[in-house]
Amino acid sequence: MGKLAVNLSGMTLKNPLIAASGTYGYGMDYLDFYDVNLLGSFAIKGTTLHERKGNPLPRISEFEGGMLNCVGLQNPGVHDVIQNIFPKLEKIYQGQVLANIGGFSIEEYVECARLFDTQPIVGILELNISCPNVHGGGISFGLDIKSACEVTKAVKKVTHKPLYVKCTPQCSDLAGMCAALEKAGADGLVLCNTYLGMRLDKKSGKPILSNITGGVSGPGIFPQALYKVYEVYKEVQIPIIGCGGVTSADDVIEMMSAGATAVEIGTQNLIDPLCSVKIIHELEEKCKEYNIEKISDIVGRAHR
Amino acid sequence: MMKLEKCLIVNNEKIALNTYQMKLLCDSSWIKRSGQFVNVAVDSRKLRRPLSITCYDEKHIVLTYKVAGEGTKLLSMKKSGEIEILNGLGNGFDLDVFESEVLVIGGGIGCAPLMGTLKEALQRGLNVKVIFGFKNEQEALFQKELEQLGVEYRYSFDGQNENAVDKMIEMKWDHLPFCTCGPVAMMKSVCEHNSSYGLASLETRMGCGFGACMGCAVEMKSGMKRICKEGPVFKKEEILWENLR
Repeated sequence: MGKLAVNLSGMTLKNPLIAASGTYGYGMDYLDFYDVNLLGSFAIKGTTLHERKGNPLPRISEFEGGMLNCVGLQNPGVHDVIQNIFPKLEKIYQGQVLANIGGFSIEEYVECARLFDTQPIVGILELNISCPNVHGGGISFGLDIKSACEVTKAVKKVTHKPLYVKCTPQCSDLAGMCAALEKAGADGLVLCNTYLGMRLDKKSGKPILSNITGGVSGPGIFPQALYKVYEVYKEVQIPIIGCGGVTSADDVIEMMSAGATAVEIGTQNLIDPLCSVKIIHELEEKCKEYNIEKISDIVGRAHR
Repeated sequence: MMKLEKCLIVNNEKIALNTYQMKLLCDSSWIKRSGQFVNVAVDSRKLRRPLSITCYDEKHIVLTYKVAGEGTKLLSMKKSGEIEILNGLGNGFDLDVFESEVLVIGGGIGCAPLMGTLKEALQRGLNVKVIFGFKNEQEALFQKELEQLGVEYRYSFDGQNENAVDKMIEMKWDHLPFCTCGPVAMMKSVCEHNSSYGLASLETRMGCGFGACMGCAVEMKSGMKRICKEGPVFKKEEILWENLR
Protein backbone atom coordinates (compact mmCIF):
# COMPACT_ATOMS: atom_id res chain seq x y z
CA MET A 1 0.00 0.00 0.00
CA GLY A 2 1.18 3.49 -0.80
CA LYS A 3 2.01 6.23 1.65
CA LEU A 4 -1.42 7.82 1.23
CA ALA A 5 -3.37 4.69 2.22
CA VAL A 6 -5.73 4.83 5.19
CA ASN A 7 -7.97 2.29 6.84
CA LEU A 8 -11.56 2.83 7.91
CA SER A 9 -12.85 -0.07 10.01
CA GLY A 10 -11.18 -2.64 7.78
CA MET A 11 -11.93 -0.87 4.49
CA THR A 12 -8.62 0.17 2.95
CA LEU A 13 -8.62 3.39 0.94
CA LYS A 14 -5.66 4.06 -1.37
CA ASN A 15 -5.82 7.69 -0.27
CA PRO A 16 -7.83 9.59 2.36
CA LEU A 17 -10.04 11.44 -0.16
CA ILE A 18 -13.74 10.65 -0.20
CA ALA A 19 -16.19 12.63 -2.32
CA ALA A 20 -18.96 13.84 -0.02
CA SER A 21 -22.54 12.73 -0.40
CA GLY A 22 -24.71 15.05 -2.46
CA THR A 23 -21.85 16.43 -4.52
CA TYR A 24 -21.05 13.24 -6.36
CA GLY A 25 -24.38 11.73 -7.39
CA TYR A 26 -23.87 7.98 -7.73
CA GLY A 27 -20.37 8.36 -9.18
CA MET A 28 -21.34 8.43 -12.85
CA ASP A 29 -21.35 12.20 -13.41
CA TYR A 30 -17.58 12.63 -13.12
CA LEU A 31 -16.63 9.98 -15.69
CA ASP A 32 -16.00 12.57 -18.40
CA PHE A 33 -13.36 14.14 -16.14
CA TYR A 34 -11.42 11.27 -14.58
CA ASP A 35 -11.44 7.64 -13.47
CA VAL A 36 -13.47 7.44 -10.25
CA ASN A 37 -11.16 4.64 -9.07
CA LEU A 38 -8.52 7.31 -8.35
CA LEU A 39 -10.47 8.42 -5.28
CA GLY A 40 -10.15 6.85 -1.85
CA SER A 41 -13.90 6.35 -2.11
CA PHE A 42 -17.10 8.32 -2.45
CA ALA A 43 -20.36 8.66 -0.54
CA ILE A 44 -23.43 8.12 -2.68
CA LYS A 45 -26.27 10.65 -2.81
CA GLY A 46 -28.35 10.47 0.37
CA THR A 47 -30.75 7.60 -0.26
CA THR A 48 -34.11 6.99 1.39
CA LEU A 49 -36.44 4.00 1.39
CA HIS A 50 -38.79 5.59 -1.13
CA GLU A 51 -38.15 7.98 -4.00
CA ARG A 52 -37.99 11.63 -2.95
CA LYS A 53 -38.47 14.59 -5.24
CA GLY A 54 -36.73 17.02 -2.91
CA ASN A 55 -37.48 20.71 -2.59
CA PRO A 56 -38.70 23.14 -5.27
CA LEU A 57 -36.34 25.56 -7.03
CA PRO A 58 -34.32 27.58 -6.18
CA ARG A 59 -32.18 25.06 -4.35
CA ILE A 60 -28.83 26.85 -4.58
CA SER A 61 -27.48 30.13 -3.28
CA GLU A 62 -24.01 31.47 -2.60
CA PHE A 63 -21.99 33.53 -0.16
CA GLU A 64 -18.43 34.82 -0.14
CA GLY A 65 -17.12 31.62 1.49
CA GLY A 66 -19.09 29.01 -0.39
CA MET A 67 -22.67 28.02 -1.04
CA LEU A 68 -26.01 27.01 0.43
CA ASN A 69 -28.24 24.22 -0.80
CA CYS A 70 -31.72 22.96 -0.01
CA VAL A 71 -31.89 20.03 -2.44
CA GLY A 72 -33.82 18.07 0.20
CA LEU A 73 -32.64 14.47 -0.31
CA GLN A 74 -33.89 14.05 -3.88
CA ASN A 75 -33.16 10.43 -4.75
CA PRO A 76 -34.76 7.54 -6.61
CA GLY A 77 -35.14 5.35 -3.51
CA VAL A 78 -33.05 2.44 -2.27
CA HIS A 79 -34.66 -0.20 -4.51
CA ASP A 80 -33.87 1.74 -7.67
CA VAL A 81 -30.32 2.40 -6.47
CA ILE A 82 -29.74 -1.33 -5.88
CA GLN A 83 -31.51 -2.59 -9.00
CA ASN A 84 -30.53 0.01 -11.58
CA ILE A 85 -27.64 2.17 -10.40
CA PHE A 86 -25.28 -0.22 -8.59
CA PRO A 87 -25.03 -2.67 -11.54
CA LYS A 88 -23.87 0.23 -13.76
CA LEU A 89 -21.52 1.54 -11.10
CA GLU A 90 -19.96 -1.89 -10.57
CA LYS A 91 -18.89 -1.91 -14.22
CA ILE A 92 -16.76 1.20 -13.83
CA TYR A 93 -15.82 1.22 -10.15
CA GLN A 94 -13.83 -1.54 -8.47
CA GLY A 95 -13.84 -0.10 -4.94
CA GLN A 96 -16.52 0.17 -2.30
CA VAL A 97 -18.70 3.19 -1.56
CA LEU A 98 -20.14 4.79 1.54
CA ALA A 99 -23.89 4.33 1.30
CA ASN A 100 -25.46 7.49 2.71
CA ILE A 101 -28.87 6.68 4.22
CA GLY A 102 -31.50 9.31 4.95
CA GLY A 103 -34.79 8.79 6.70
CA PHE A 104 -37.84 10.09 8.51
CA SER A 105 -38.35 7.25 11.00
CA ILE A 106 -36.19 4.62 12.68
CA GLU A 107 -38.01 1.95 10.65
CA GLU A 108 -37.11 3.68 7.40
CA TYR A 109 -33.41 3.94 8.29
CA VAL A 110 -33.42 0.28 9.37
CA GLU A 111 -35.07 -0.97 6.19
CA CYS A 112 -32.67 1.03 4.02
CA ALA A 113 -29.68 -0.31 5.96
CA ARG A 114 -30.98 -3.88 5.71
CA LEU A 115 -31.26 -3.59 1.94
CA PHE A 116 -27.80 -2.05 1.53
CA ASP A 117 -26.31 -4.70 3.81
CA THR A 118 -26.48 -7.32 1.06
CA GLN A 119 -24.61 -5.15 -1.46
CA PRO A 120 -20.91 -5.96 -1.94
CA ILE A 121 -20.26 -2.50 -3.40
CA VAL A 122 -21.22 -0.92 -0.07
CA GLY A 123 -18.19 -0.73 2.20
CA ILE A 124 -19.56 1.54 4.89
CA LEU A 125 -23.04 2.73 5.84
CA GLU A 126 -23.10 6.48 6.34
CA LEU A 127 -26.06 7.20 8.58
CA ASN A 128 -27.29 10.67 7.68
CA ILE A 129 -29.01 12.10 10.75
CA SER A 130 -27.97 15.60 9.80
CA CYS A 131 -29.75 16.69 6.60
CA PRO A 132 -30.93 20.25 7.32
CA ASN A 133 -33.27 20.41 4.34
CA VAL A 134 -36.08 18.00 5.14
CA HIS A 135 -38.87 18.38 7.64
CA GLY A 136 -39.52 15.79 10.33
CA GLY A 137 -36.45 13.68 9.64
CA GLY A 138 -32.74 14.04 9.06
CA ILE A 139 -31.39 16.69 11.38
CA SER A 140 -34.12 16.17 14.00
CA PHE A 141 -32.44 12.84 14.86
CA GLY A 142 -29.03 14.47 14.92
CA LEU A 143 -29.91 17.21 17.39
CA ASP A 144 -31.12 14.90 20.15
CA ILE A 145 -28.70 12.44 21.75
CA LYS A 146 -31.43 9.95 22.72
CA SER A 147 -32.97 9.78 19.22
CA ALA A 148 -29.54 9.62 17.59
CA CYS A 149 -28.53 6.67 19.78
CA GLU A 150 -31.83 4.88 19.20
CA VAL A 151 -31.52 5.01 15.42
CA THR A 152 -27.84 4.05 15.59
CA LYS A 153 -28.59 1.00 17.78
CA ALA A 154 -31.49 -0.06 15.58
CA VAL A 155 -29.47 0.18 12.37
CA LYS A 156 -26.45 -1.51 13.92
CA LYS A 157 -28.62 -4.55 14.67
CA VAL A 158 -29.44 -5.19 11.00
CA THR A 159 -26.10 -4.55 9.34
CA HIS A 160 -22.77 -6.33 9.06
CA LYS A 161 -21.18 -3.25 7.49
CA PRO A 162 -19.27 -0.65 9.51
CA LEU A 163 -21.73 2.06 10.55
CA TYR A 164 -20.53 5.67 10.40
CA VAL A 165 -22.84 8.38 11.68
CA LYS A 166 -22.79 11.70 9.82
CA CYS A 167 -23.49 14.34 12.46
CA THR A 168 -24.76 17.88 12.30
CA PRO A 169 -22.57 20.72 13.57
CA GLN A 170 -25.81 22.31 14.81
CA CYS A 171 -25.84 19.87 17.75
CA SER A 172 -25.20 21.90 20.93
CA ASP A 173 -23.04 19.20 22.55
CA LEU A 174 -21.38 17.45 19.64
CA ALA A 175 -18.61 15.86 21.71
CA GLY A 176 -21.20 14.44 24.11
CA MET A 177 -23.32 13.29 21.17
CA CYS A 178 -20.39 11.51 19.56
CA ALA A 179 -19.28 9.80 22.78
CA ALA A 180 -22.87 8.55 23.17
CA LEU A 181 -22.97 7.36 19.55
CA GLU A 182 -19.77 5.39 20.11
CA LYS A 183 -21.40 3.67 23.10
CA ALA A 184 -24.51 3.04 21.00
CA GLY A 185 -22.41 1.05 18.54
CA ALA A 186 -21.26 3.52 15.88
CA ASP A 187 -18.08 2.29 14.18
CA GLY A 188 -17.09 5.76 13.05
CA LEU A 189 -18.20 9.36 12.65
CA VAL A 190 -18.45 11.82 9.79
CA LEU A 191 -17.95 15.37 11.06
CA CYS A 192 -19.86 17.21 9.87
CA ASN A 193 -22.76 17.87 7.56
CA THR A 194 -23.63 21.46 6.57
CA TYR A 195 -24.45 24.36 8.88
CA LEU A 196 -27.89 25.96 8.73
CA GLY A 197 -28.03 29.31 7.03
CA MET A 198 -29.99 31.54 4.71
CA ARG A 199 -29.68 34.33 2.14
CA LEU A 200 -32.15 37.04 1.24
CA ASP A 201 -32.74 38.54 -2.15
CA LYS A 202 -31.31 42.05 -2.25
CA LYS A 203 -34.23 43.57 -4.13
CA SER A 204 -37.21 41.84 -2.51
CA GLY A 205 -35.72 41.13 0.91
CA LYS A 206 -37.25 37.64 0.71
CA PRO A 207 -35.40 34.30 1.16
CA ILE A 208 -33.65 33.10 -1.98
CA LEU A 209 -33.97 29.39 -1.22
CA SER A 210 -37.35 27.72 -1.62
CA ASN A 211 -36.94 26.07 1.78
CA ILE A 212 -36.01 29.45 3.33
CA THR A 213 -32.94 27.89 4.97
CA GLY A 214 -30.22 25.74 3.45
CA GLY A 215 -27.06 23.89 4.35
CA VAL A 216 -23.98 26.10 4.33
CA SER A 217 -20.85 24.52 2.85
CA GLY A 218 -17.58 25.49 1.22
CA PRO A 219 -14.23 26.96 2.28
CA GLY A 220 -15.89 29.46 4.64
CA ILE A 221 -16.81 26.70 7.12
CA PHE A 222 -13.41 24.97 7.16
CA PRO A 223 -12.14 26.38 10.50
CA GLN A 224 -15.39 25.44 12.23
CA ALA A 225 -15.44 21.92 10.76
CA LEU A 226 -11.79 21.48 11.72
CA TYR A 227 -12.57 22.50 15.29
CA LYS A 228 -15.44 19.98 15.51
CA VAL A 229 -13.06 17.18 14.48
CA TYR A 230 -10.45 18.38 16.99
CA GLU A 231 -13.00 18.61 19.78
CA VAL A 232 -14.59 15.20 19.19
CA TYR A 233 -11.28 13.37 18.65
CA LYS A 234 -10.51 13.89 22.34
CA GLU A 235 -13.71 12.12 23.37
CA VAL A 236 -13.88 9.03 21.13
CA GLN A 237 -11.78 6.05 20.04
CA ILE A 238 -13.61 5.37 16.75
CA PRO A 239 -12.35 6.80 13.43
CA ILE A 240 -13.52 10.23 12.26
CA ILE A 241 -14.00 11.31 8.66
CA GLY A 242 -13.46 15.08 8.52
CA CYS A 243 -15.81 17.05 6.29
CA GLY A 244 -16.40 20.74 5.71
CA GLY A 245 -14.78 23.29 3.43
CA VAL A 246 -11.77 21.23 2.39
CA THR A 247 -10.29 22.62 -0.82
CA SER A 248 -6.59 21.72 -0.82
CA ALA A 249 -4.01 19.13 0.23
CA ASP A 250 -3.02 21.41 3.10
CA ASP A 251 -6.62 21.36 4.32
CA VAL A 252 -6.58 17.55 4.17
CA ILE A 253 -3.39 17.48 6.24
CA GLU A 254 -4.89 19.90 8.76
CA MET A 255 -8.07 17.83 9.08
CA MET A 256 -6.06 14.66 9.61
CA SER A 257 -3.79 16.37 12.13
CA ALA A 258 -6.90 17.41 14.07
CA GLY A 259 -8.00 13.79 14.24
CA ALA A 260 -9.58 12.72 10.96
CA THR A 261 -8.58 9.34 9.51
CA ALA A 262 -10.02 10.32 6.12
CA VAL A 263 -11.49 13.47 4.61
CA GLU A 264 -14.60 14.19 2.57
CA ILE A 265 -14.59 16.82 -0.17
CA GLY A 266 -17.92 18.32 -1.13
CA THR A 267 -18.53 21.79 -2.48
CA GLN A 268 -15.12 22.05 -4.11
CA ASN A 269 -16.11 19.17 -6.44
CA LEU A 270 -18.81 21.45 -7.85
CA ILE A 271 -16.51 24.45 -8.21
CA ASP A 272 -13.70 22.41 -9.77
CA PRO A 273 -14.72 18.91 -10.85
CA LEU A 274 -11.05 17.93 -11.05
CA CYS A 275 -10.21 19.09 -7.51
CA SER A 276 -10.11 15.64 -5.91
CA VAL A 277 -7.51 14.24 -8.31
CA LYS A 278 -5.54 17.49 -8.08
CA ILE A 279 -5.54 17.22 -4.28
CA ILE A 280 -4.44 13.56 -4.36
CA HIS A 281 -1.51 14.54 -6.56
CA GLU A 282 -0.76 17.54 -4.35
CA LEU A 283 -0.88 15.34 -1.23
CA GLU A 284 2.03 13.25 -2.52
CA GLU A 285 4.06 16.43 -2.94
CA LYS A 286 3.07 17.83 0.46
CA CYS A 287 4.02 14.58 2.22
CA LYS A 288 7.51 14.97 0.77
CA GLU A 289 7.64 18.64 1.71
CA TYR A 290 6.55 18.02 5.32
CA ASN A 291 8.55 14.79 5.74
CA ILE A 292 5.43 12.70 6.26
CA GLU A 293 6.32 9.06 5.69
CA LYS A 294 2.82 7.63 5.88
CA ILE A 295 -0.16 9.93 5.91
CA SER A 296 -1.92 7.79 8.51
CA ASP A 297 0.90 8.71 10.94
CA ILE A 298 -0.38 12.28 11.22
CA VAL A 299 -3.91 11.42 12.38
CA GLY A 300 -4.52 13.33 15.60
CA ARG A 301 -0.97 14.69 15.86
CA ALA A 302 -2.37 18.05 16.99
CA HIS A 303 -3.18 16.34 20.29
CA ARG A 304 0.18 14.71 20.89
CA MET B 1 -19.61 14.65 -23.81
CA MET B 2 -18.40 17.64 -21.87
CA LYS B 3 -14.90 18.92 -21.48
CA LEU B 4 -12.97 20.98 -18.96
CA GLU B 5 -10.98 23.45 -20.99
CA LYS B 6 -8.68 26.42 -20.48
CA CYS B 7 -9.39 29.10 -23.10
CA LEU B 8 -7.87 32.42 -24.02
CA ILE B 9 -10.08 35.48 -23.81
CA VAL B 10 -10.03 37.12 -27.25
CA ASN B 11 -12.23 40.00 -26.16
CA ASN B 12 -14.87 40.84 -23.57
CA GLU B 13 -16.82 43.99 -24.32
CA LYS B 14 -19.94 45.79 -23.25
CA ILE B 15 -22.53 45.59 -26.02
CA ALA B 16 -25.63 46.98 -24.29
CA LEU B 17 -26.82 48.14 -20.89
CA ASN B 18 -25.36 45.70 -18.28
CA THR B 19 -24.66 43.25 -21.09
CA TYR B 20 -21.29 41.92 -22.20
CA GLN B 21 -20.05 39.71 -24.98
CA MET B 22 -16.98 37.54 -24.55
CA LYS B 23 -15.16 35.71 -27.31
CA LEU B 24 -13.01 32.74 -26.31
CA LEU B 25 -10.42 30.79 -28.23
CA CYS B 26 -11.32 27.16 -27.62
CA ASP B 27 -12.14 23.78 -29.05
CA SER B 28 -15.78 24.03 -30.09
CA SER B 29 -15.98 20.42 -31.27
CA TRP B 30 -17.61 19.62 -27.92
CA ILE B 31 -20.64 21.65 -28.89
CA LYS B 32 -23.19 19.60 -30.78
CA ARG B 33 -26.22 21.89 -30.88
CA SER B 34 -27.22 25.47 -30.34
CA GLY B 35 -28.75 26.04 -26.92
CA GLN B 36 -26.01 24.16 -25.11
CA PHE B 37 -24.07 26.09 -22.49
CA VAL B 38 -20.72 26.42 -20.78
CA ASN B 39 -19.94 26.77 -17.08
CA VAL B 40 -17.35 29.48 -16.56
CA ALA B 41 -14.92 29.61 -13.62
CA VAL B 42 -14.85 33.22 -12.44
CA ASP B 43 -12.55 32.52 -9.49
CA SER B 44 -11.34 29.51 -7.55
CA ARG B 45 -13.84 30.01 -4.71
CA LYS B 46 -17.09 30.63 -6.56
CA LEU B 47 -19.47 28.26 -8.25
CA ARG B 48 -19.05 28.47 -12.00
CA ARG B 49 -21.41 30.67 -13.96
CA PRO B 50 -23.59 28.87 -16.50
CA LEU B 51 -23.65 30.96 -19.68
CA SER B 52 -25.41 30.18 -22.93
CA ILE B 53 -23.44 30.00 -26.16
CA THR B 54 -24.42 32.75 -28.60
CA CYS B 55 -22.50 31.35 -31.54
CA TYR B 56 -19.37 29.42 -32.36
CA ASP B 57 -16.99 28.51 -35.15
CA GLU B 58 -14.24 25.88 -35.21
CA LYS B 59 -11.91 27.76 -32.90
CA HIS B 60 -14.08 30.21 -31.01
CA ILE B 61 -17.17 30.50 -28.92
CA VAL B 62 -19.03 33.69 -28.17
CA LEU B 63 -20.88 34.16 -24.88
CA THR B 64 -23.34 36.98 -24.23
CA TYR B 65 -24.17 37.60 -20.60
CA LYS B 66 -25.88 40.05 -18.33
CA VAL B 67 -24.12 41.34 -15.24
CA ALA B 68 -26.53 40.14 -12.55
CA GLY B 69 -24.35 39.70 -9.46
CA GLU B 70 -20.83 39.41 -8.10
CA GLY B 71 -19.78 36.53 -10.36
CA THR B 72 -20.80 38.07 -13.66
CA LYS B 73 -19.41 41.44 -12.50
CA LEU B 74 -16.02 39.80 -11.94
CA LEU B 75 -16.31 38.11 -15.31
CA SER B 76 -17.03 41.42 -17.06
CA MET B 77 -13.70 42.76 -15.76
CA LYS B 78 -11.63 39.96 -17.26
CA LYS B 79 -10.36 41.45 -20.49
CA SER B 80 -7.56 39.04 -21.40
CA GLY B 81 -5.72 35.95 -20.25
CA GLU B 82 -6.97 32.45 -19.58
CA ILE B 83 -10.31 31.31 -18.29
CA GLU B 84 -11.46 27.79 -17.53
CA ILE B 85 -14.78 26.55 -18.83
CA LEU B 86 -16.78 23.36 -18.79
CA ASN B 87 -17.71 23.06 -22.43
CA GLY B 88 -20.56 21.29 -24.24
CA LEU B 89 -23.09 21.16 -21.38
CA GLY B 90 -26.79 20.43 -21.71
CA ASN B 91 -28.91 19.08 -24.56
CA GLY B 92 -29.52 22.13 -26.78
CA PHE B 93 -32.25 22.65 -29.37
CA ASP B 94 -32.99 19.62 -31.54
CA LEU B 95 -33.82 21.25 -34.87
CA ASP B 96 -34.37 17.91 -36.68
CA VAL B 97 -38.06 18.09 -35.83
CA PHE B 98 -38.64 21.39 -37.64
CA GLU B 99 -39.61 20.59 -41.22
CA SER B 100 -39.89 23.88 -43.05
CA GLU B 101 -40.25 26.79 -40.67
CA VAL B 102 -39.45 27.93 -37.18
CA LEU B 103 -40.30 30.91 -35.01
CA VAL B 104 -37.44 31.95 -32.75
CA ILE B 105 -38.89 33.97 -29.90
CA GLY B 106 -36.79 35.29 -27.04
CA GLY B 107 -36.80 37.76 -24.18
CA GLY B 108 -33.87 39.71 -22.71
CA ILE B 109 -30.64 37.78 -22.29
CA GLY B 110 -32.62 34.68 -23.36
CA CYS B 111 -32.14 35.93 -26.93
CA ALA B 112 -28.43 35.06 -26.67
CA PRO B 113 -28.62 31.27 -27.23
CA LEU B 114 -31.33 31.79 -29.84
CA MET B 115 -28.86 33.60 -32.13
CA GLY B 116 -27.07 30.29 -32.57
CA THR B 117 -30.38 28.52 -33.02
CA LEU B 118 -31.63 30.81 -35.76
CA LYS B 119 -28.31 30.63 -37.61
CA GLU B 120 -28.42 26.83 -37.46
CA ALA B 121 -32.03 26.92 -38.68
CA LEU B 122 -31.05 29.14 -41.63
CA GLN B 123 -28.20 26.78 -42.51
CA ARG B 124 -30.71 23.94 -42.55
CA GLY B 125 -32.79 25.91 -45.05
CA LEU B 126 -35.67 26.56 -42.69
CA ASN B 127 -37.86 29.61 -43.08
CA VAL B 128 -37.02 31.56 -39.92
CA LYS B 129 -39.06 34.28 -38.19
CA VAL B 130 -37.70 36.10 -35.16
CA ILE B 131 -39.27 38.03 -32.29
CA PHE B 132 -36.97 39.45 -29.64
CA GLY B 133 -38.38 41.30 -26.64
CA PHE B 134 -36.40 43.66 -24.41
CA LYS B 135 -37.15 46.02 -21.55
CA ASN B 136 -36.08 49.01 -23.58
CA GLU B 137 -33.91 50.03 -26.51
CA GLN B 138 -30.81 50.41 -24.32
CA GLU B 139 -30.91 46.69 -23.57
CA ALA B 140 -31.71 45.56 -27.11
CA LEU B 141 -29.31 43.03 -28.62
CA PHE B 142 -28.37 41.55 -31.99
CA GLN B 143 -30.23 43.98 -34.31
CA LYS B 144 -27.17 44.41 -36.56
CA GLU B 145 -26.66 40.64 -36.80
CA LEU B 146 -30.31 40.04 -37.67
CA GLU B 147 -30.11 42.68 -40.41
CA GLN B 148 -27.01 41.02 -41.83
CA LEU B 149 -28.66 37.61 -41.80
CA GLY B 150 -31.56 39.05 -43.76
CA VAL B 151 -34.06 37.23 -41.60
CA GLU B 152 -37.58 38.55 -40.96
CA TYR B 153 -37.64 39.88 -37.40
CA ARG B 154 -39.63 42.05 -35.00
CA TYR B 155 -38.59 43.67 -31.73
CA SER B 156 -40.86 44.44 -28.82
CA PHE B 157 -40.08 46.75 -25.92
CA ASP B 158 -41.75 46.55 -22.51
CA GLY B 159 -41.17 50.28 -22.12
CA GLN B 160 -43.39 50.90 -25.14
CA ASN B 161 -46.17 48.73 -23.74
CA GLU B 162 -45.37 45.91 -26.10
CA ASN B 163 -44.60 42.28 -25.50
CA ALA B 164 -43.24 39.41 -27.53
CA VAL B 165 -46.41 37.32 -27.31
CA ASP B 166 -48.68 40.13 -28.58
CA LYS B 167 -46.19 40.60 -31.40
CA MET B 168 -46.40 36.89 -32.23
CA ILE B 169 -50.20 37.08 -32.42
CA GLU B 170 -50.16 40.37 -34.33
CA MET B 171 -47.77 38.92 -36.94
CA LYS B 172 -49.95 35.76 -37.18
CA TRP B 173 -46.87 33.71 -36.32
CA ASP B 174 -48.70 31.94 -33.50
CA HIS B 175 -49.18 28.79 -35.57
CA LEU B 176 -45.45 28.39 -36.29
CA PRO B 177 -43.43 25.73 -34.49
CA PHE B 178 -41.06 27.57 -32.19
CA CYS B 179 -37.94 27.74 -30.05
CA THR B 180 -38.07 30.07 -27.07
CA CYS B 181 -35.80 31.31 -24.30
CA GLY B 182 -36.37 34.13 -21.84
CA PRO B 183 -38.18 34.96 -18.63
CA VAL B 184 -40.46 32.17 -17.34
CA ALA B 185 -43.62 34.29 -17.64
CA MET B 186 -42.84 35.08 -21.28
CA MET B 187 -42.05 31.49 -22.25
CA LYS B 188 -45.15 30.21 -20.49
CA SER B 189 -47.28 32.73 -22.36
CA VAL B 190 -45.65 31.84 -25.68
CA CYS B 191 -46.40 28.16 -25.05
CA GLU B 192 -50.02 28.94 -24.15
CA HIS B 193 -50.67 31.19 -27.14
CA ASN B 194 -48.93 29.11 -29.76
CA SER B 195 -50.68 25.84 -30.57
CA SER B 196 -47.78 24.39 -32.54
CA TYR B 197 -44.81 22.25 -31.50
CA GLY B 198 -42.42 24.15 -29.25
CA LEU B 199 -39.14 23.92 -27.38
CA ALA B 200 -38.25 26.12 -24.41
CA SER B 201 -34.83 26.62 -22.85
CA LEU B 202 -34.97 27.00 -19.07
CA GLU B 203 -32.70 28.68 -16.59
CA THR B 204 -32.18 28.40 -12.85
CA ARG B 205 -29.46 28.68 -10.21
CA MET B 206 -27.10 25.76 -10.69
CA GLY B 207 -24.50 24.07 -8.53
CA CYS B 208 -22.21 21.96 -10.69
CA GLY B 209 -23.72 22.32 -14.18
CA PHE B 210 -23.04 18.69 -15.12
CA GLY B 211 -25.63 16.68 -13.24
CA ALA B 212 -23.93 15.72 -9.99
CA CYS B 213 -25.53 17.92 -7.35
CA MET B 214 -29.28 18.02 -8.15
CA GLY B 215 -29.20 21.75 -7.44
CA CYS B 216 -31.20 22.49 -10.59
CA ALA B 217 -33.50 19.47 -10.64
CA VAL B 218 -37.20 20.16 -11.03
CA GLU B 219 -40.31 18.08 -11.49
CA MET B 220 -41.54 17.82 -15.07
CA LYS B 221 -44.52 15.82 -16.38
CA SER B 222 -42.35 12.72 -16.83
CA GLY B 223 -40.52 13.02 -13.51
CA MET B 224 -37.57 14.81 -11.98
CA LYS B 225 -35.21 16.41 -14.54
CA ARG B 226 -31.92 18.20 -14.11
CA ILE B 227 -32.06 21.46 -16.05
CA CYS B 228 -28.29 21.26 -16.60
CA LYS B 229 -28.23 17.69 -17.90
CA GLU B 230 -31.58 16.58 -19.33
CA GLY B 231 -32.19 20.25 -20.25
CA PRO B 232 -31.94 23.14 -20.50
CA VAL B 233 -34.22 22.63 -23.53
CA PHE B 234 -37.55 20.85 -22.97
CA LYS B 235 -40.62 20.21 -25.10
CA LYS B 236 -43.35 22.63 -24.08
CA GLU B 237 -45.80 19.86 -23.09
CA GLU B 238 -43.21 18.42 -20.70
CA ILE B 239 -42.86 21.58 -18.59
CA LEU B 240 -44.78 22.15 -15.35
CA TRP B 241 -44.56 25.94 -15.31
CA GLU B 242 -45.70 26.29 -11.69
CA ASN B 243 -42.46 24.55 -10.60
CA LEU B 244 -40.21 27.15 -12.21
CA ARG B 245 -39.15 30.22 -10.36
